[in-house]
Amino acid sequence: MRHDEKQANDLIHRYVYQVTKRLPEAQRADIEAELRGLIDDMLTARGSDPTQDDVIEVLRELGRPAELAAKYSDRKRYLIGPEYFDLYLLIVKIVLAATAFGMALALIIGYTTKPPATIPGAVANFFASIISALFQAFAWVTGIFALIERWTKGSPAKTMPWNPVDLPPVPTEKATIKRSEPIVGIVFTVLFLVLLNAAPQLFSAYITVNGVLHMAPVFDFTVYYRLLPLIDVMICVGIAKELLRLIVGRYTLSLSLVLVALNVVAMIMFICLFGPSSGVWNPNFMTQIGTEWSLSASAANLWSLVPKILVGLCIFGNVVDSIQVIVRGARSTSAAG
Amino acid sequence: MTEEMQSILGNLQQELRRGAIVLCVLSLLDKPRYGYALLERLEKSGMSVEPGTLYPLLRRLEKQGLLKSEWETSGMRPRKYYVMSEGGREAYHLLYRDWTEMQSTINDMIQEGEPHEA
Repeated sequence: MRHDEKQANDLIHRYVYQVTKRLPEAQRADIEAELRGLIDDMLTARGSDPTQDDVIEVLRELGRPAELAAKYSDRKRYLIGPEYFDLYLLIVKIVLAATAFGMALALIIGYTTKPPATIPGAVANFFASIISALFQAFAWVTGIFALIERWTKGSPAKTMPWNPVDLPPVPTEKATIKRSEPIVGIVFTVLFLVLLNAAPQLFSAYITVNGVLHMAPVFDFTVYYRLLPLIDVMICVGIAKELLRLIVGRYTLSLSLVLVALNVVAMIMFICLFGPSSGVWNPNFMTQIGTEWSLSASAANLWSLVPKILVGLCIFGNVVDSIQVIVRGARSTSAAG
Repeated sequence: MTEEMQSILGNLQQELRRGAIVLCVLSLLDKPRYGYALLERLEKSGMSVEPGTLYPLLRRLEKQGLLKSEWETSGMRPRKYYVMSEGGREAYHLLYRDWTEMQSTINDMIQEGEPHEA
């Protein structure tokens, strides 16, 4: 009899613990006291001397601890709300596909240039690398969306009264951003991001001398790895640009201005990271090729031109893109007004 | 009735009751009661509510300022008594008015549609 009572008390104790451990610290003691009182009352209603079976039935009536705790807590119970969920799914799919493809590409090229010791080892390494990259990509996307969800929660755009007159006009054919454009943009940017992080040695000159493959890397890796976080930030600015285009879905003057601002940021970063004064370029690139191809010493000057040419191309591309974006934004605004 | 239909109906009934339960609880908390007494009182009137629903509801209404509570420790076991606050009383009267209006509106509507049923 006493043994039975002890077991019954133990069950109640375990149940209450499972409920309260899921609740905010500040409410625990109060809810615990109330819940114990409730269980007592429910048991008393069943007779003066409750058995363990009575306890089991009462606890069953109260339901699973997790569900009861959920009813007590009125916190928001999702990471990414309905407003962003569709976009989140789309971005997850795009990023995972691009990451898997990029990693596979990087690994396969890596194996062809540096054959692995054993085939089974290579296969295992292949899948392990891809899966860990997929998890990372998934975590990043989810984390970023969770932050967006929290940041935009109390934003004025959501709390201000909504006026139908403020509905944006249905964009004209020219002002619409086709979804495929930014998606393709994101795919390639993520691909590039993966390659730069997983296999920067791909960016090399490949020379075969007497059937032996030689690689002359474009980058000076000690400098490269130091700059890599900044390079990633620069590429993420590019991804942010495409995301904005995807979310807004049509050209407006304000979107254009933001895109141009991001262009300027990316351009400045590119000039600092890859410009002529950056140490990221392999200074011995020409000598490494030169010994194989017996190039003249003046060829080294040619190599020093490469960063200048790249900076020129980058500025040119950004200016052209910015002008295009501004023109489309201005045109859509004037068409709407 | 198919199983699927039954679960749909179950959800509809639950939704129909959800708002009404708040009204019932407020009406009974004109004087202080503790959770289990309220539960029994509701059941006696034929409006049985699961304890796992009622207790969290009481806390929510208290947090919203419609109820206030006090621990009563002089009895055999400590109990938390709830009673309507001033704001709760005001809200209760407005809700009750809405309820009676809705009741007659719905009744009228159903009676209008009655003939082809009878």
